Amino acid sequence: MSRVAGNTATFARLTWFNVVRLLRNPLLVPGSVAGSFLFVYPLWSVPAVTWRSWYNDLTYSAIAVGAVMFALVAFPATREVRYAHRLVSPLGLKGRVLSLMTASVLVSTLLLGALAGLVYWLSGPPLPGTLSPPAHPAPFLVAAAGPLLSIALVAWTRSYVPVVVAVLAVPAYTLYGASMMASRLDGMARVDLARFAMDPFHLHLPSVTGVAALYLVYLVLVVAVLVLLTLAARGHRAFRAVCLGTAAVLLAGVVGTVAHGRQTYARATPIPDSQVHGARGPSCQVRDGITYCPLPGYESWVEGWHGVLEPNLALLPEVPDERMPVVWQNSFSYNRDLEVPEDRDVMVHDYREGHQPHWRAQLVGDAARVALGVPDLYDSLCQGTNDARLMVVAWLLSTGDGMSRFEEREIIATSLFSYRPSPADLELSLALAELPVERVSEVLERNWERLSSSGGTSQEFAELLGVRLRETSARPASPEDWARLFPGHGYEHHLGEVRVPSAPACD
Amino acid sequence: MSWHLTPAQAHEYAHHRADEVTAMSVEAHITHCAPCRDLLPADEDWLARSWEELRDVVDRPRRGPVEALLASLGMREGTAKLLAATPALYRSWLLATVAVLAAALLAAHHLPRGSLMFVFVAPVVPLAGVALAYGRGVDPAHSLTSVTPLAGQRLLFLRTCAVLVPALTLCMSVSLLLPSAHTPGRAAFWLLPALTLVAGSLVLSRWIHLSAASAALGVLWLVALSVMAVSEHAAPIQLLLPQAQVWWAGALVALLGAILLRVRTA
Amino acid sequence: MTTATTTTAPVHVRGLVHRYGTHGALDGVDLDLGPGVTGLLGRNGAGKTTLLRCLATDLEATNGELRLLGRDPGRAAERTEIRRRLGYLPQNPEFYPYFTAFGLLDYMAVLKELGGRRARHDEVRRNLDRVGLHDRRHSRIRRLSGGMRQRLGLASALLGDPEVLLLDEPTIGLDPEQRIRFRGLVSELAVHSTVVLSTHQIEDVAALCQRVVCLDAGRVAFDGTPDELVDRARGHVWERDGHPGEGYTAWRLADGRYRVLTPAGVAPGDTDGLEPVEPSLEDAYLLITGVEEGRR
Repeated sequence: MSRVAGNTATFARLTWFNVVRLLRNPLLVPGSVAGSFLFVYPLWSVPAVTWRSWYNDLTYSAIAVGAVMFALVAFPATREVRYAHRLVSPLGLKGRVLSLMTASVLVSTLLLGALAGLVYWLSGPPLPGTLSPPAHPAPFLVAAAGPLLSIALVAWTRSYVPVVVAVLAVPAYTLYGASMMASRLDGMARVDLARFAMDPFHLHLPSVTGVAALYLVYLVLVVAVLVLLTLAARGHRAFRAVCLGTAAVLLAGVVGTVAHGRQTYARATPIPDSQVHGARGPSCQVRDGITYCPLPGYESWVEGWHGVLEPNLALLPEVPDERMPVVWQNSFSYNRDLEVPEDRDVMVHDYREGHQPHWRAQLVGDAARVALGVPDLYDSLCQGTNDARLMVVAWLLSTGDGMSRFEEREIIATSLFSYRPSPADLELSLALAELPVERVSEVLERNWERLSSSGGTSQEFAELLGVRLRETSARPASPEDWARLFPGHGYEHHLGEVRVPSAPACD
Repeated sequence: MSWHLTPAQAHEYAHHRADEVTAMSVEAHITHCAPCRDLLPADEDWLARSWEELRDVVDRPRRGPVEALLASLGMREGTAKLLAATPALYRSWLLATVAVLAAALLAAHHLPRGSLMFVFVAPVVPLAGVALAYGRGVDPAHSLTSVTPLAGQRLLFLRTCAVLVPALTLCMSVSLLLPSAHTPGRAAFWLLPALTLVAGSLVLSRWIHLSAASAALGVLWLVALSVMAVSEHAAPIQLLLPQAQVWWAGALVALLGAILLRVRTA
Repeated sequence: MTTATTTTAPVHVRGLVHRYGTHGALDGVDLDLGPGVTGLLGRNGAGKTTLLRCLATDLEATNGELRLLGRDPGRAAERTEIRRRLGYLPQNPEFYPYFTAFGLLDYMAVLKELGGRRARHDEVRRNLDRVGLHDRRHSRIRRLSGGMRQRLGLASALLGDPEVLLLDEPTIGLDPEQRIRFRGLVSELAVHSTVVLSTHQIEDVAALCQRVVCLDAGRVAFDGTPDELVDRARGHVWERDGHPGEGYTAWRLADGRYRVLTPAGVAPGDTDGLEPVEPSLEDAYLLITGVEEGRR
């Protein structure tokens, strides 16, 4: 009994010694911080941090920490594996290697914990969204896998091969990723070898308990395989056979977990809120007639959406309940399984680009089109030439604050472009932006029935407003018209892309 | 056998004047008759020499596969021995190089624009080998070898050759297997930068440790690539385009000149 | 005429200075060494190894004049010429563990530019015989014991019967039999060669050296014959029945008496039970290098 206790105490002391030595390595902290910065920096363009983006940052930092530790731990590992047999000590080679593994896991955890705290503090908590409990340990296991892999390789090769591999491959791989980013091939850069090994599942969802648990099982199994492989490198034949056999069984478990996960959670699997951690009660709420369905954990964002929508929809005379928009939040990373009325849905995401004009215009435009009954072009292809309702939408978009003149025109053009407006439409939309808000409101109030129906034309709207249009053509605008009315926006070049031979008028 | 050789017969046999039948029976007899064997004169010097020769053949260490290969290619025996005997880290480097190049080849075939991995790695592969080839700290027996007449530049260049030959062979094979490689000429885009970096580190090694020199140049190469990757108007691949190759060639010639000058003045 | 005679000495050192960064390891050493064995004594860190490395052309001196076999090791061509005629056994030599003993010596012989294959192999065999490793010639170095490795290093230094032989702690790890053999070997070589032996083994110095050089803090503290060194210690070495008390350098002998060193001497009448004894070389060495003065 006392021998075991003595050995445990020696193991603890040696582990502490290893931890201190690793932490004192002058390359550890700068390398990890620089690596995390390199990985995470491109993602910092998102101003609003959520638990999901924080978690992504953490995973990338874990890769950086793991890579740095991979290189640094190879030196003490080689020391133990190559030269330790000359030392006589109460702890055998296996004990010392295990101690080094424990120390490296402790150090990587410590380092990643510090980085996680730093990023959390920088992102201004509290963060929206949720993280499932099994997701918490995962990045730490990713970071630990780096040094453990290095020790396993050193144990088998008894050489500095892992260091040389790391020195050659890591910069090249990082540069490869960077140049893919730079050449705007980020979509393709997602075919990321390191990420695949670290997360072989289709879905990476820290908020969904089932997915996070599978991922955790996968990582735990991988780490266990690494430990067993390291132990199997030395020792008696029987011991090695047992280690290798267990590792093989666990490896089968890894493959099984991955296969099961990829089957259960295929790329487009719809996931109901009930599977998301932190979901409580009904997910939708109604404010001033507008329905909001945020994802669990994003309830605080409803205020923001409502703050944008409410003043704009208030400019419209009474909108019937069946035309009030249903704003529902979908996830960037999976399809949310939620029942929403199809003709009234306005989709928002779980990332937010602040209150930029384009994001705001997208939300207001979608909601206004629902309120006015203009079909979404994604649902039914139609032509909105001379449609007064589109003019109302364009006007609402132009009432936003804090836009430059160019941005305002760009937003108007974007909202109209795909509906193939006439030159008169374009001229009126620009004229509306110049008119006082009260005057347009008044005209809408008086002629709401006509202007909010599919029969109302932009010519009528112009006459009611007393605006004299120079453009008379009621045919869809030609590239020349676009170049004349929206100079510098370049829409004339895109016109070919949306030319549809004959689309019915939007009803 | 009941007869023995007469001195006359022995003399005849020793001077190759015995007829064939007699010679055969004499030979059969003397293999098991020591007194008759003593009648034959022996060339003691020749025996001693042959014995030494034989002993050397039996006793000398077996040649390793690399040394045997080099010797069979017609290389001088001593040079082959020096090229084959390399520091322990060399094997780590060779293993690592094989692993990294295999990964790069895999990436080239399975990742979008994956050949870039090879582009970034190939020019530094020989450099990494050179960094581990010579000097205190990377060569365990350096304290023994550093005071031999061959030490210094000659051993340095030999070791560099021992690195360059496998490195260039491996890189060339991989680059020929790249999806975009069509001709050997097009596949060799990495060669001049690789050689220039190695030559640069050899020149620098006059002032600093060879490993430090190689590391400095490797970092320089990475910084250049990173700057190109991050910059808006450039891409890392521009460092390897035909226009850039002219510059690499120029730099290589200049560095080789510096090395030659150093060797001749040394 | 002195300059002419000194420059012809195989090892000629004047005002040799070497610094590692700001730490000065050698601080103006003057030496002229000829055929025979010279023992280099001194405490740890006195500069022995640095001096040997400078002499072995492994280190370039920061300052001063150095001529080996009449040549200047600062010039590459002359340095190579020196190295052809020089043998060096570094402190704790390391080898390539996967080489065999024969293979390593053969490799070193190639590096030393020794003849064709046959001649080289003969030389390798001769030296393996000399150090008693003939039976282990085909063993991998990692299978050799520490003493065997030391002998292998010695064999490598002896390759080609160098004119200048520099040995840094050569007898570490050798058993008494091997040590005797080593002494025989070195004294045989020293008839024609200049041998410099850095060591802490006073018995080796006593048995081998015609000359002793003591280094202290990078300077030559003593240069003379072993007898001269012993002479200096006369009057400073005593024995006594009990410990003389604080302030003396004293140690207990096997017979229970104490041996006492008094670097600063003893005032007459203050002998206090001290009996003068004949100093050994070790006493002399301790007095000149190891004992802080004025502790009495």
